[in-house]
Amino acid sequence: MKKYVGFFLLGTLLSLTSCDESLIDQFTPGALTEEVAVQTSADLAKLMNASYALLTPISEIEFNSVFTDEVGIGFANGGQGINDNYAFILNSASDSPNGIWIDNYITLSRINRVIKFSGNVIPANAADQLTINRLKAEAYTLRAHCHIQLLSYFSTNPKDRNALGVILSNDVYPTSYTALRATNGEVYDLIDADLAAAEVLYATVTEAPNPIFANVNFTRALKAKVAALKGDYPNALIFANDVINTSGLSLATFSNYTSVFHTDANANSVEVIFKLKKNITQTRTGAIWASVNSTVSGSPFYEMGRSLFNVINTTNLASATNLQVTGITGNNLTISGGTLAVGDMFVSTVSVPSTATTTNGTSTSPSGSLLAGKVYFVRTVTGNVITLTDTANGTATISLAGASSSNANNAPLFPLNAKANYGDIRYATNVHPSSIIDYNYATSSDYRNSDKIAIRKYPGTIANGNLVNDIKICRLSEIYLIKAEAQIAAGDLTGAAATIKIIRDARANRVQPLPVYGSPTDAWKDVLKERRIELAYEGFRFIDLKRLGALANEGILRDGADCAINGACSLPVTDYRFALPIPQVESNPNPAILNQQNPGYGSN
Amino acid sequence: MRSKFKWIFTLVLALSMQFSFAQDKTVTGVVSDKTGPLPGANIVVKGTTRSAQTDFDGKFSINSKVGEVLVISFTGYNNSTVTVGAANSYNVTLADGIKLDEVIVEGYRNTTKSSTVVAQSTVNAKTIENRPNASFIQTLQGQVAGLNIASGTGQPGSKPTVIIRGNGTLGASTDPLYVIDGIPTNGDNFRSINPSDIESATVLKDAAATAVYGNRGSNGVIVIRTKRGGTGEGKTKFRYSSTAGYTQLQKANYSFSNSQELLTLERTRGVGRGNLNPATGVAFTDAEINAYGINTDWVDYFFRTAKSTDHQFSIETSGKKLNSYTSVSYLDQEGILLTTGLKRFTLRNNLSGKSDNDKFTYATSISLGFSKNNEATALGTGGINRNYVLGATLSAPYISPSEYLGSQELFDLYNGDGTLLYTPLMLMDKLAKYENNTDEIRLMTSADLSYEIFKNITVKSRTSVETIETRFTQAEFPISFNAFLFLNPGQEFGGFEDINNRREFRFNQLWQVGYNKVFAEKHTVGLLGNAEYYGAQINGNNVRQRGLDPLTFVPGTGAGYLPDVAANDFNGPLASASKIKQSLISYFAVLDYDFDDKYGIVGTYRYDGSNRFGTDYAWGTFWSVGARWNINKESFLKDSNLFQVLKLRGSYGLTGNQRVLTGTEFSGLNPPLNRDTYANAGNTYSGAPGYNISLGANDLQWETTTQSDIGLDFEVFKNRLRGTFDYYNRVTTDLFFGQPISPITGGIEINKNTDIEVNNKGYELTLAYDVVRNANFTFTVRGNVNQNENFISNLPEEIPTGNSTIRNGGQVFEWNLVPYAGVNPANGNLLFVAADGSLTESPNPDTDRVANGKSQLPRYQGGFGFDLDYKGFFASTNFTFVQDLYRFDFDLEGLYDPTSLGQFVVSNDLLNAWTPTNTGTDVPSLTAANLGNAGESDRFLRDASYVRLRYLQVGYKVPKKFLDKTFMTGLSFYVQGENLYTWTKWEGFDAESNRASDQAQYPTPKIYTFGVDIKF
Repeated sequence: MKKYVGFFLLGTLLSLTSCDESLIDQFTPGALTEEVAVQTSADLAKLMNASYALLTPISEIEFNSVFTDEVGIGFANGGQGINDNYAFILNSASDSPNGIWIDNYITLSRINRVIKFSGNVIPANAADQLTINRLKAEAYTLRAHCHIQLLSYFSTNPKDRNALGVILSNDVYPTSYTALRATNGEVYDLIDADLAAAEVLYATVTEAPNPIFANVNFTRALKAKVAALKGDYPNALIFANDVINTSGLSLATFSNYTSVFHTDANANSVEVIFKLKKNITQTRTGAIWASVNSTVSGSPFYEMGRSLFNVINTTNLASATNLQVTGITGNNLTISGGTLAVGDMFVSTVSVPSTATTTNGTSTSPSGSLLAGKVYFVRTVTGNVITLTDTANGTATISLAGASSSNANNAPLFPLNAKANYGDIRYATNVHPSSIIDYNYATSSDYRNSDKIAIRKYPGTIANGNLVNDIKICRLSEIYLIKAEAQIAAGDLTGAAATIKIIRDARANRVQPLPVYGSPTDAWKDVLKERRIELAYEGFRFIDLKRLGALANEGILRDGADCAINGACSLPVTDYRFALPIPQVESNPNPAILNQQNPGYGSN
Repeated sequence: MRSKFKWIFTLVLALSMQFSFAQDKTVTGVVSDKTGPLPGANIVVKGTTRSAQTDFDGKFSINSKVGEVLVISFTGYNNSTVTVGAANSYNVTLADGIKLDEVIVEGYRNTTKSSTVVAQSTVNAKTIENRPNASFIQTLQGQVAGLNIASGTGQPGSKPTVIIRGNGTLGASTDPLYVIDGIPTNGDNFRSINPSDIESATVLKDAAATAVYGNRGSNGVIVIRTKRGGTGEGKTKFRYSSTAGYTQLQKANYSFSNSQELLTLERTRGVGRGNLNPATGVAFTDAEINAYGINTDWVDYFFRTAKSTDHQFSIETSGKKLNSYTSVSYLDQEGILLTTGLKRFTLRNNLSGKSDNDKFTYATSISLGFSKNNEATALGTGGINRNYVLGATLSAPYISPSEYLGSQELFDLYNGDGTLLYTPLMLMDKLAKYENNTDEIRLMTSADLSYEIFKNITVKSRTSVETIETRFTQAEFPISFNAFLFLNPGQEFGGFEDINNRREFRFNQLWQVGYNKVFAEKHTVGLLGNAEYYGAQINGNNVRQRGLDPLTFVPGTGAGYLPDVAANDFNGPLASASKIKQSLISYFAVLDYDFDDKYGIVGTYRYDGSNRFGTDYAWGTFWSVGARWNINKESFLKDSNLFQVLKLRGSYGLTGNQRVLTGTEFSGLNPPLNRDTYANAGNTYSGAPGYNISLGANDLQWETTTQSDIGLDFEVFKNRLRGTFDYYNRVTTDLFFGQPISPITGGIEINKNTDIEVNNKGYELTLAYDVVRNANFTFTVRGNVNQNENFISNLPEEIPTGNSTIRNGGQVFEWNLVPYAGVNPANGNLLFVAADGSLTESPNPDTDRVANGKSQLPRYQGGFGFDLDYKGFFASTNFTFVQDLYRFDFDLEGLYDPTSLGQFVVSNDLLNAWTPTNTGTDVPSLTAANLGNAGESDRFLRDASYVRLRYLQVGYKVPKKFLDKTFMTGLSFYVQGENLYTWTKWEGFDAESNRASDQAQYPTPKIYTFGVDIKF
C-alpha cells in the first residue's frame, strides 16, 4: 500500500512538472512586426513622422558653423571643437561626417519604408487615397532632399556627373546589405525622378501647403536647388522663378523677420517653405553653441565668429556714417551730421563714462552707461535728437542715466565719435542683445573674455523652452539667391543685382541701393556674402563655399582674433577636405567602399 | 560601437541548499579532535547526497541505515569513516593531517571533495565575514584562481565586474549566474545582502559544473550558501561582532599645479586670471603671484575621510528535529565622495527540520534586507555642474570655497562673466541643493521539501521567491544654481523631482527525483532527474515632477508640487511605465557513477527553453561529461606516504549564454532582438505619434561555449602542501556581437550571432603550504594565479571599431591606435608614427592605426597571502594582482590639456611645455595645432597592471582558559585594512577599474577598521 501512495505522489509530481510551453512565449508589449504595423494611412503617417523626427540636421548645422568661419571659440568653451572641426582636423573617424552620413541614411531607410509600404495600404475611401498620395509625395521629396544633402558633402565635384556621388538608397534593405557609391549622374537621376514623382502626386492633393511638412513648394524648391548644385543654371532659373511666382509666399520683412526665428510665429505664407517642427523637450538646436540659453550668460562654448560679425554689423561696413554725439540729456542723444532713421544701427566708439563696464551684457556699471561697440538701434528721431533701443523693432528706450550724469563730470568728452548705418534685421536675429562687444577686440589682451558675441538664431520659444525652435530647412530667400546665381551664370549681372536688392530691401529698415557688379567675380562674391548673412547657422556655409568659393575667389577665412587659439585661420576651397571622407560608420561594415574613399584621406 | 574618446566639459541639463534525504534511522554522534569537539565538521553518507554538519559542540545527526558508510571530514584533518551498524550513536575522533572531504556544493547536488569531478573553488565564511566590503563580491577578489573581479567605483555596495576564465564574448554579458540558497539571481546588486550570513561561496568553473545550468552556465556560476544551525543536541549559541573604522581616498600621482604655478601658466598662455588680475586689470606680476594667498586642495574638499560601522548579531540553535540560524545586522558606511553612503539593515532566518520518521525533511530560508543608498550621479561625464569628481580633479586652486555664498549669489556671479572657472562653486551648490536616495527592500524566501518516497528514491521540491523593491528619488531644489541656470523664459520656478519605483520579482520552482544505490559494495550509482521553471519580471514606473514651490517643497513627499498651468508646459508630472518578463523552462538529469572511490564519471544533460528567442530557437541542449581518477587510492601509491590526495579530473561539455546583451538580465527582451519591430512612440513629430523601428536578427539564439578542462588536485607532505592545477580551453561560438551594418539599412549596428569565435585558454594554479603547523603556532602561505590567453578567430575580415579592433588572432577589446612618438622639437607639435614608419603630425586613422596586442583585460591575475596564528595572536593578509592590461588615463589627458587653462587646473608638467627655447621636452607646445590628433593615438594609454595589498588583518583571539569564568565562549579583537598599498605604473587615483578608460570616476577607497567578535 505504501508503495502505491509513493507511485501516486510520483505520478502527481511528474504531471505537475509538465510545464506549459506558453510560459516561454516572448513578452514584448508594444513591439509590432512590420506586417501588423503598417496597415492604414495613419500607420503610414507614423512612419513619415519618424522620418521627419530623424531628419533633424544637427550634425550638418554644427559642422557648417564650426568647421567654417561662422563661429569663434566661446569664453565658456570646455574643449568643444577645439581639437577637431575648429582645427580643420577631419578624417573618417571624425564625428561630423559620421553624423551627417548616419542622419541622412537612417532617415532614408524610414522614407523608403513609407514609399514601399504605401503599396500595401488599402485606402478606406477616396479621401484616404489622397492622404496616401500626399504621404508618398512627402516621402519622395524628402528622399530627394537627403540625397542632395549627402551628395553636397561627399562628392568631390557635384558639377561632374561622372564623379563619385554617394550610395543610392531607394529600397528597403536587409541588414546584410551594402553597396558602393554611385556616380553623381546616377544620384541626380534618382533625385530628378523622385521630384517628378512627387510633383505628380501633389497634383492630386487638395490641402494648402503647410511648411511643417514637405510640400509641393519644397519639391519645386529642391528642383531649383539641385539644378544649381549640378551647375544646370538655366533650369535653376526656371524652377526658382516657378517657386517665387507660384508658391504664394513672400519674404519676411524688417518687422516680421525675427518672428521666423525667435518665436516661430510667422504666418504660413511668410518666408518659410519647409521647416521641421520642434516641440518642448525636442531637439535643442541652440545647444550646438551654448549649454544653457542663447544669452551671453547661457554658457556659450561657441560665439559668433568675428569675421561673420563684422559683415553682419552694418556699422562696421564701409557704408557706415561717421557721426558725432554732441550731448546726452536724459535718454536723448544729440547728434551732429548724418540723417538717421528709426531702426538704424548705432555704435559709439568710446564708452561714456569711459570706465563703464558691463557684466552680463544687460547690466552696466554705472547703470545706464553708453557702451563702446555695443550695437543699438535708433528708436525715435526728432530732428537731431535720437533715443535708442537695444533690439531691432524694440519698444523700450535705453536708459542713458549713467552716460547722462557723466556728461557733467566728463564734459570735455564731447563730441563723441559714433557710427551709424541702416539697420539690418539679420543682426538682431543672429546676435543676442546681451552680447558684450569689445570695440577694440583686435588689440584686446584677453579677447576671449572681453568680446562675447552670443548666437541667437535658435533662442527657443516661450512654449518650447530655451534653445528649442523649428529648424528651417528651406526658405524663400534661398530661392531668390539661387535665382541670382542663375542670373550671374547667364551673364545677367544687373538682374542678379536686382534680385539681391529684393532680399536686402526685405531685411533692412530702409530701401537699399542697387548693387553694381563690375565683374562676375564681384557678383559671385556678393551672392556668397548674402548667403553667408542670410543663411548663417542654418547649415549652408560649407556647401556654399564648396559650390561658389572658386567663382568668388574665397575660402574659409576666420578673424585673426578667433584663430589665435590654434592658428587654424584659413582653408582654401581647393583643399581636399571640401569633400568629406566616407566615414567609418560606413566603411566598417562595408570595407569595399574604402576603394572609393575621397582623395586626401589615405585609403586609396 | 566603441568610438573615439572625446572629453568636453559642459553644463548639463539633466539628467544551494544542503539536501538531506530521510532514511531508515537517525544516527547521531560527536566529532572531536584531540583537543575537544569540532564544530563544522562534515558528515556525508557515502554514495549519497545526504550530509550534515556538526554543531558548536561537535554533535551531528544524520539519516542513515545499517550498512551505509559515514564519511567524516574537516579541513586540516584526516577523513574518518564509520560503517553504520546496530548502534545509533558514533563518536569519531579525527586525527590531524589528512583533511578535507568537505562537502562540495555543485548547485543542484552536493558531493565531497574527493568524489567531485568538477573544477570549482570555495571561499568560506572565515574569509568573508567581518570584512568591511558592503558587497561580498569584492571580498572574493584575489581569492579564487580564474576569477577576475574589478571594481569601477568606490560607491559602497556597488557592483564590480566579474569575469570567470576570461571574456568569452564580444557583446553579450560576462556576468556569471549567482545562486543564493538555490535562488538563481544576478549580480546587479548585493547591497541589501549581509556578507556575514554567507557560509560559503563556491565558484563553478568548468563545463562539468556549469552545464547543469544550461543556457545560463557559460560565464560560470557562483553558488552561495548561507549559514544554518547544527543538527546535534538542542543548544543555543549567540554571537556578536562589530567593526568600526574609516575609509580614505587612495592618492593619485598627478602633479596638480598650485595657485602659483597655475597663475604663471595662465599668464604665459595669455588667458584666465593669471593674465588678468581682477584687482589690477592687468596680468599678475611675479610678486603678486608669489604673494597669492589662496591654495585650495579641491581633492581634499570633495573627498573626505569617511566613517563606517557594522554590527552583527546571530543566534544559532541546534536540535535533532529542528534547527535555526537567525541574524540581524546593521551597517552604516559613508562613501569617501561627499554625499555618498550606504545604510543597511538585514534580518535572516534559516530553519531546517525533519519528521519523526526522518523521511520528510524541510528547510526554509527567509531573508530581508533594507538599504538606503546615496549615490553620486553623473560620474565619468563632463558635466561640470553635476559630477562631484570633476570638482576635485579640475578646480583651480586659486578659487576659495569661501567664494560660494548661496545659489542666487553664485548664479549672479556666473551671470556676470559666465566662466567655467566656477566649476567647484557650482558643485558646492549641488552638494547643498540636490538630493538623491535609493531605498531598497530585498526579500528572499525559499522552501525545500524532500521526501523519501521509496527506498533509494527521494523526491524533492524547492520553491523560491525573491522580490526587490527599489524606490529611487532625486530632487534638484527650486532654489539652486542649476534650477536658476536652466530656467526657461516665462518659467517661474525650476528644479525637478524624480521618483522611480521598480519591482523585480523572481520565482523558481524545482522538482527533483533522486535515486541512489550501491551495487556489489563497490559500484555506486546516482541518478537525478529535474524539472525547473524560472520566471523573472521587472516592473518600473517613473514620475518626474517639474515645477517645485521653494516655500513648501520637501524631497520625496510630494509637497510643493506645482500644478500644470494653461499658459505653458513647464510644470506638472511626466510619467512612464514598463514591464519586462524573462522565463525559462528546463529539464535536466545528472548520472553519477563511482567505482570503489577510485574512479568516477558524471554526466549531465539539460534541455532548456527561454523566452528570449523566437519559437524556433527557444530550446537548447547542453551537456557535459566529467571523470576523475583518485590516484592516491591506487595500491601503488597507497603505501607511499607522499600523496595524501592525488586526483586527476577531466571534463568536457557545452554550455550557453542567453544574456545576449550586457546590462541586466532584462536587457534585450523588449524590443526583442530577434525581429524587426515597430514600436509606437508618442509626440514624434508635431505632437503626432510615430514609429520607432528596431532591427532584429530572426535566427537569434544563445551563445555556446565548449569547454574542456583537465585538473589535478594534490596534497603532499602530510597535507602540508595543498594545491590544484587546472588547464582549460573555452571556445565560444555563435558569438553574440553588435555587428556594424551599413546605415543605409536603417541602423548602424545589429545584435546577432556570428561565426566569430573567441577562445580563452589558460591555467589556474592554487597552492597553500603550512610552513609551521603545531598546537601553538600555525603559519600558512597561499596563493593563486591564472594566466588567460584570449584570442579571436574565424572572422571573415577585420572589424575596426574605433580605438579598438576585432581581428583574427587578436584579443577581445584589442587596442587599435596610432603610436604617439613625442614632441616635434622644431615646432612643438605632436608627432605620430605613420604606417610606413615615418613620423607625421597628421596621422590618418584609417591607415596609421596599429593593433598593438594590448587590451583592457588582464593576461595574469591572482592573489597571494598568508595566515598566521601564534598563541591566540593571528595575522592574515591577501595581495591581489592583475598584469598585462592597458587602459586610457583621461584624467591625465585633461591635466595635460592647455586649452583648460583659464578655467581648470592643469598639471604643472605644462611649465615644461615646448617653446622655441625649450625644444628638448616631452610636453607639446601650449599652442600645438594638432592636439586633437592624439584622440586616435596611444598617447594616454597606460599600463594598468598592479599588485595591491588588498587586505591585512592582525588580531588576538583570547584563549579559552581566560574565558572560563565569563559568559563568553569566544572573544577576539582585530584591526584590519583594505587596499592599503598598491604597486603600479598607473598614475591615477585607482589602478583598479572595470573600464577601458577613466576620467572623473569614483575611486575605490582604503579602509581601516577595528573589530571585536564575541561568542556566548
